[in-house]
Amino acid sequence: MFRRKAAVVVEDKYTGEKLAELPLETREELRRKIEAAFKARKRWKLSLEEKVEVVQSLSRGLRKRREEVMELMMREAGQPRKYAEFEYKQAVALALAYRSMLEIISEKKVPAVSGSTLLVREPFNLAGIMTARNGPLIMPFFTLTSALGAGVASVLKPPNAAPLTARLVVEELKSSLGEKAELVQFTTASGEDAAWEFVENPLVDVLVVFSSSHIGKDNVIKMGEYLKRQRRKFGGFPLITGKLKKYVPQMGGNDALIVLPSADVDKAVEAAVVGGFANAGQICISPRRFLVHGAVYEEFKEKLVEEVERLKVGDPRDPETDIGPIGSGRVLEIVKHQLRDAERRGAIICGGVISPPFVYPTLVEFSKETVMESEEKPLLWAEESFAPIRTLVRYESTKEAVELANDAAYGLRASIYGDPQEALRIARELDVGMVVINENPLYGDVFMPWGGIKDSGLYGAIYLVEEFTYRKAIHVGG
Amino acid sequence: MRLEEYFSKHPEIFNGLERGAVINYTIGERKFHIVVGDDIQVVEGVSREADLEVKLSEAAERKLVETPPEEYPKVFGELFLSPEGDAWVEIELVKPMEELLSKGYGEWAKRAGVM
Repeated sequence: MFRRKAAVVVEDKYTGEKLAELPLETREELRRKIEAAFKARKRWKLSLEEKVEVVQSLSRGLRKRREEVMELMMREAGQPRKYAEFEYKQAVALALAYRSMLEIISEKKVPAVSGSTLLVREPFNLAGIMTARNGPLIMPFFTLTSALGAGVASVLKPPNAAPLTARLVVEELKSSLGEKAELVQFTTASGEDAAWEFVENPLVDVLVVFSSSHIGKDNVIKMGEYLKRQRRKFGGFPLITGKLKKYVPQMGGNDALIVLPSADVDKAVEAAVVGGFANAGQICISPRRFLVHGAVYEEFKEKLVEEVERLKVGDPRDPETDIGPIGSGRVLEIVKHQLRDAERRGAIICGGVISPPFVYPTLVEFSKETVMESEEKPLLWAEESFAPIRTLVRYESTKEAVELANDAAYGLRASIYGDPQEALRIARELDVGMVVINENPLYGDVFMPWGGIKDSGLYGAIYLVEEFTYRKAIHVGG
Repeated sequence: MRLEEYFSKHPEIFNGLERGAVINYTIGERKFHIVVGDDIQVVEGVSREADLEVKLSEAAERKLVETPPEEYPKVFGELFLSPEGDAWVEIELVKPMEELLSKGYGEWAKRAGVM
């Protein structure tokens, strides 16, 4: 009798309907894909023109299947159409700017005391890539095309809760690559198996992971455990044979939006709503803590509550919907806990309702004493809220604003509204990888590097395409 | 009506692009380019100085020339983002992005909903 193979069941996050059932791949199957990608990497090398043509062809393929792509994003990830459109356009814009993006890794001459020194970027061989459910299109698109541009073969592991858009991207990319299709692989192995395989397989050089900070840190534990197992004693000295990997974690955030007394309050409110509540708050760079100067606090709060109460919750496929479902039962549990804590502190000023799969848009108000001085910090202040729940705190001085903004385990991005000169001064004081001033907090383009510090990332803002390469210095004597 | 004629009638479509901006167009076998100056010059053949290469199908051309000029960027953007059957637009950036942004293409692309 045959044992039935375990399956990955993908559901519509709004209706619960089964969308697809994919085989759950084993580590052995994943290993074979890694080997196939590695062989392809050794066999094929794409010229710049080929890379650009492949990505244009991928873009054409996706544009021809736009509705199918959108449908998948709305159903498997629960993204409201409005936000799915935004993500779709980001991918298309990235393809348009692709040639320019690759200039980031072009060679450069640097000063030399004698002769000349050239810095070049060389590709690693193979990258393991793990993406998250909140970027079903842009994460696979951006990472795979960056890896391809760098000259690296890749194996993509999307989240098994929402792998279908990523699968479509890989399908189109493979079709664009033609006979070189093996350079890109897709796996439905479990997250745990994929992480272990990427950590332990010596063919993998780079591990790029989009995840919560907890999962991001768990991979570091895996790397440590793996190396520990490879430790031998040789004449009293440690001998460790396991391979070190380049690790690029892109993790969570608990971003501040600072509203200065000089801010255009209407624009700041718009930024808070668009940035804070898009995709039901399930975006790593979403501002989660609104810090507002006392001079404009009441006006900001009143207008914000009015706008937030107007947000429409419901079917993500309805073009009018602003807030779709939360795509994870585990997140709903965490949110319940966070809201209960906020209720206990009497701080909810609008929303506060959970009706699975929805969390209604919620604003929670804390005093600066509560968040800065209490022994037990409110959960919604201390943790990343991956739902449409945002906190509001009043401050009275720039120093306080900076202290409040930096009072976070995370350091991804911050947004500032108000006088640009003052905002620039504040920007330099913030412990984050990115700052956006008087702009949509979700702003991004291919030339703006991305990433954070602390529990958000290891390197601050980075160009992903560079991370798939290593720098080589070539000196020629004069 | 051909697109060349439509552009001559509605030069405001290119408002926001800096002087010296050049775009090559290919529609089937026809090739022409536009040059932004005090007004819009439509010139037969391709330019070696082009910032962008735009290719479009005849069905897309028919749709565009029937579009009110104020809606042209949006319809153009939609044909690129979401080709409908025979109606499609392809764009290739020839010059570096920095140069294109300095010539006003970024704002135009925003109006077209492409960026």
